[in-house]
Amino acid sequence: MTSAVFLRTLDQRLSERLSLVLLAVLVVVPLGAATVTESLGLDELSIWLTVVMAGGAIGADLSSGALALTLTRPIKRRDYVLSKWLAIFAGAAFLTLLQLGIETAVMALRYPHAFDLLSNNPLYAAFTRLALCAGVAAVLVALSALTSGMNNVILWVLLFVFAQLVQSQGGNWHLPWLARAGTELAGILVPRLNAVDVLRASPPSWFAISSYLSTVIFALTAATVLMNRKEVSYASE
Amino acid sequence: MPPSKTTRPAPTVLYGLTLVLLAARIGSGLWESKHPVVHDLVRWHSLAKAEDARPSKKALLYVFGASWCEPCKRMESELFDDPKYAEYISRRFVAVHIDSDAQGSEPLVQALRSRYEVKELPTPIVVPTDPKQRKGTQIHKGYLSASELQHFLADAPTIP
Repeated sequence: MTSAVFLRTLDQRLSERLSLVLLAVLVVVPLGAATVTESLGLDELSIWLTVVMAGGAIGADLSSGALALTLTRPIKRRDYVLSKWLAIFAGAAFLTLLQLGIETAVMALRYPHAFDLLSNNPLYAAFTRLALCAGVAAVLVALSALTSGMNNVILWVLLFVFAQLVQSQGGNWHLPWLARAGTELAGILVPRLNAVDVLRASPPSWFAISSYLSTVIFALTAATVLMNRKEVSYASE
Repeated sequence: MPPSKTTRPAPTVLYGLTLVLLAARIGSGLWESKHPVVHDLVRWHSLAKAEDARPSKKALLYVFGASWCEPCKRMESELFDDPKYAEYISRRFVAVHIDSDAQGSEPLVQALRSRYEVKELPTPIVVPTDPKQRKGTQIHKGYLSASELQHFLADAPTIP
């Protein structure tokens, strides 16, 4: 890992006003729901926190010319990609855990009995949400190596909507293979590893674990290969 | 002059990991399609044995799902992995889980699907065992959160 790239990526995100506003909204506003529901139900927000953190992860550096400058140093492109991924994951993980901490505190004050439910176990929720952050970050880094600017987010959203449409139409038209295709595409865009599949099941679901890991590693491999093939120079901009 | 080190080494470790994990994914997928991982706590009955439970005082709970159906998995993990709900369901219902794909060709499943017009997944159905209460059958089409499903089951027309 390259610490300079790691720190610069975090600094980039946390110094952009739009990103900060979006992240603050995503962390704080949904917590209102925690005051009226008896469950730790903000798992899906981890996805959107990661999306905001990963917007233009590599593409923005390419568009601004920062990538050309960065790569004048003897940094291996593989390390550049992994540093980007780790920085995005670290940022999203911190915000996710912060949100979960507040959510848990609110629930403990208002609905202490709700912790009886397994689905409300904060450790399980943390595991599931951190896995979401790492998975979505890897996919968005791969898409960012493919596109310029913030287009990785646009591409991800379009593919995600397409996957949902395919999934629902497969159900409506009674075509299990079509619904399955939509589910698989959604699973690639949002790699999930539910704590229940790993920590609760005995034996654990190796399919769930290997599916998740293979998607994440494949995304990072694709991002590295794309970066290795990229010709970067001021002249190309 | 020392040999220059490339900044673009082939990601051989990542290539290897990708291949190994893809193989593991395919292998475990094939294995688990034949030996599904059971992590729920509900005492499930087979469809044929559920019919035998008719003389008992418990209502029938059919839960239609499929392995590819994400809302089904989510509903099942939220509900059936929870000891509180699982115990409640096992105590009050003769519960039958039906995989619409794997069991779709079975005549009993086809009959149930057409009788209750199961077109969406997941679909939980509560059927009172007393034929006189047949009108009390409750069907919900689509995903239910844990608290919604709790209300759905609490409203179920069970025989005291």
